[in-house]
Amino acid sequence: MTDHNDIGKCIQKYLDEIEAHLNQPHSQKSEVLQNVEAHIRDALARRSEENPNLDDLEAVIAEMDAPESYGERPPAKQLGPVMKPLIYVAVVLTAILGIWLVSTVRKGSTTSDSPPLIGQSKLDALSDLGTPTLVGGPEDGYQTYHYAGRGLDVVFNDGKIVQYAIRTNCTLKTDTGVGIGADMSEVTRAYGQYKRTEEVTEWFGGNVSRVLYHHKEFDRYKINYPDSDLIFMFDCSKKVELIMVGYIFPVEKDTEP
Amino acid sequence: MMNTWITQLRKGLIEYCVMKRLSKGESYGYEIVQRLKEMDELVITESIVYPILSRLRKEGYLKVRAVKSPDGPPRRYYDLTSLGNNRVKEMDTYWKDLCRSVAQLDEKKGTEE
Repeated sequence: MTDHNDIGKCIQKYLDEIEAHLNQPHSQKSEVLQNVEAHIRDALARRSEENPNLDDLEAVIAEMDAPESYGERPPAKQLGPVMKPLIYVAVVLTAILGIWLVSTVRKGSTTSDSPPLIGQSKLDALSDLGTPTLVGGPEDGYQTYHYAGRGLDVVFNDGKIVQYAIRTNCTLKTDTGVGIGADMSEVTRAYGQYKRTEEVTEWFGGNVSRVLYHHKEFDRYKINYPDSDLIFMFDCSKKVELIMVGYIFPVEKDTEP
Repeated sequence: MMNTWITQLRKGLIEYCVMKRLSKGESYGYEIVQRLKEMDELVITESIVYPILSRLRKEGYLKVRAVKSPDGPPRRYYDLTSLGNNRVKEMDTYWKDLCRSVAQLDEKKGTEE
């Protein structure tokens, strides 16, 4: 007779392996895992209504997808050293493409119809977004596809999208509905008020959470929201002109009171 | 090349089929997967369906009702929201138009011959 604990442990091991391959926000991960566990319990109940044993469980899992089917393992959250160059490259390209000049154009939302970009494979991205207008890298394992017409830059690591930047002409919005052209007050309402302002001279320095950075020479602003993996950049009239999604920040403690 | 074409075609269709199934009434993960597995041409498995269910719920097309289970996690019953119902109608219209247009290509070819 099989101990229920043994079955529970085996199910948990399978779920742990799946979790390691899921590259989704926590709430969605949890939902997928609950569905998989319920799926196993349903399949077990069909196979053996009374006292299913480990053989039954093995047979059920053998018929299910391998954990790898749920996606490649997400990259480790230690991207600090490459983030500054990536942000720099994205911003410089943005400037080259001249989007500063038309930064307050606001488009309608297509968020709900858009594919979830983070975690998408390169093949899928090419299928959904088409051929990029410019390819950057690979450098340190990262490659950037620039879609000038769409106002979108996507960054790949291990063949999956790990970050992307939304620029003017892009109709994508954040999960709370903030898009290009939104006022700074919309951003702070959705993601939290900044604690203080700070002048920077480097383009574009400052990685502390919820500090309003201002670059005097370019008259541009930036706020980091590491909890949401977001960076917002604003033009001189404090309208959003660039959103970086999925950026993982180097740890930098705020030394200010 | 044929395989690539089929893979690309399946991708969007699976989401459509998940929503079509739910347009007939609420259902839970295992049942949805078993029903869609019957469509041999699409090769649908749970690792495809569950992330789609989760994403569609997050996007507001689905709502979920959790029912307690004596052992294991609650069973999650999914149903379309009004937004989801509208989306299925739009998908239906697009799909019918697409099929009609493709069929017309054959008809035109027939008349030319």
